[in-house]
Amino acid sequence: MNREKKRKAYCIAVTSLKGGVGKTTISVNLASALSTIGHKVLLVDGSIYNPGIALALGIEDNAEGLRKIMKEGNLKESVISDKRTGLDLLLVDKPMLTVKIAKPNIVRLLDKVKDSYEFVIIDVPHNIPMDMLFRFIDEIMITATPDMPAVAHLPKLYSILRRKRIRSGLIMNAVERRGYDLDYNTIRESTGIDPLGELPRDENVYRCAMDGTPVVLKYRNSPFSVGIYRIAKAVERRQKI
Amino acid sequence: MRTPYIIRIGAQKGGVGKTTIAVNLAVALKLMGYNTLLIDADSTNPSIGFHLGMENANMGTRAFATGKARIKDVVHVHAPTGLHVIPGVVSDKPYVPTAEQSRRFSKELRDSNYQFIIIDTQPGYMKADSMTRADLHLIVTMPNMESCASALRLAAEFDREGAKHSIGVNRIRNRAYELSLSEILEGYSGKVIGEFPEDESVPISIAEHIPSVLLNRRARFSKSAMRLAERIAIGLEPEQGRKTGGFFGWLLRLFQR
Repeated sequence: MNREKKRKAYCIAVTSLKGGVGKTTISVNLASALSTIGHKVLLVDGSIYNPGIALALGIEDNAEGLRKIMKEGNLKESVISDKRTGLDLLLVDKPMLTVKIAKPNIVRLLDKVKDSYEFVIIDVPHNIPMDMLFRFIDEIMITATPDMPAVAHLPKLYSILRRKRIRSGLIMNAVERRGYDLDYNTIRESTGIDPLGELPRDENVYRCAMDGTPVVLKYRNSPFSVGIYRIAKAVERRQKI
Repeated sequence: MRTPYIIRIGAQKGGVGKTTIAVNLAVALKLMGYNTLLIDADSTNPSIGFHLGMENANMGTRAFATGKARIKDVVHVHAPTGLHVIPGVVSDKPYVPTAEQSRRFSKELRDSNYQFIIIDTQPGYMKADSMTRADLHLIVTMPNMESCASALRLAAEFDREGAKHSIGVNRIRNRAYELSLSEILEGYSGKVIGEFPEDESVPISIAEHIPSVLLNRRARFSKSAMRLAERIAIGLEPEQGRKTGGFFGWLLRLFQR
């Protein structure tokens, strides 16, 4: 518990076991929602091989972020602020295929920045090893869609998280409640994970993906946004515990 | 066209439909009578098993790739079609075969008597010659910014390595906010060889563990998959390869006579 005292920011990694279930969309919108509620939030793009946040927010300039850190090692200068969402961002502008990542350095740098924020949200793809993050994060938010390929391997991840004593939450995305979708109870029974929230399939999400604005800012009352704000409130509560 | 003709299906972004297209293409080729092998090379989240109803395989691509088993030890037969499948087995660590292992893997595939080998890869960037050099890289994308941007990045990497690639566009819904085919082609040097519509028969077929081309041959997605299979089988030349079916095709052929 000593560990808990030192740190300020509540750090959430948004991840999944299958691609395309909505990691980046959820990270961007959850961060924007927390920022709108009045928190100081840092959003980090951890998808170093296939970055998506810069595109999702329509940011083209100064998106060097993580690459700049690799070069100069200065975190403060690599972070950029986005006026529209009020977020601080640590981005990746192009895939870092050849860059050798000095994991200890990144973790040390992120540790440093934790003092200046209330929330740090990291978008982590499933194809990079997460071990290096375990020391740093407070909660892993696993996203999935209600179909077998997305949820089938969750129990294994969950058992790792339990062993490491990392708090986790499951978010079901693109829920439509069609006949062929897996239902809530099946998922809970087969994975042992309690869903933290669910987000409906929402046409506005696709619409926003094209013009680089978070859904929560553009369509405040869209079903997806309402779901995100509900999750943001839940996260607020979890931070205090 | 030399055999086996190896097609690697990949994308940098996940969830665009790599596995769905790989499975349906392989089954379509098998139904056309070609001796086909489907390999699940996704080491972290293998899912071909769910599509084909073969979840319980305990030995697969990893054992083959790391040299622990020969090809015949890991091949499973998909009972309804007779398609040969090397399934993936779940693991938390992605494997990277050594150069020696890749060479052996490649040689064994090249020496096999399959006509088509379809490899479903995991999302992310893979070197064109990792594991085995493919004859065609099919890059799957959806008609949106994120996945097209990463598809074009992947294409650029393949260009640099001199590998042949084409694009398949999946989940086309013809909405105003989607990228159109011509917009995608603006930034792409190669060909679009497959266009797949958004189709409810796909999630249904996944839930049923039966590939769409078997479950519902008339579904729009299945038709696209079969069209792609025909196109690939004919030799990847769309001009001479495209056969216009139905009444219109009959009319065309009548006038060409």
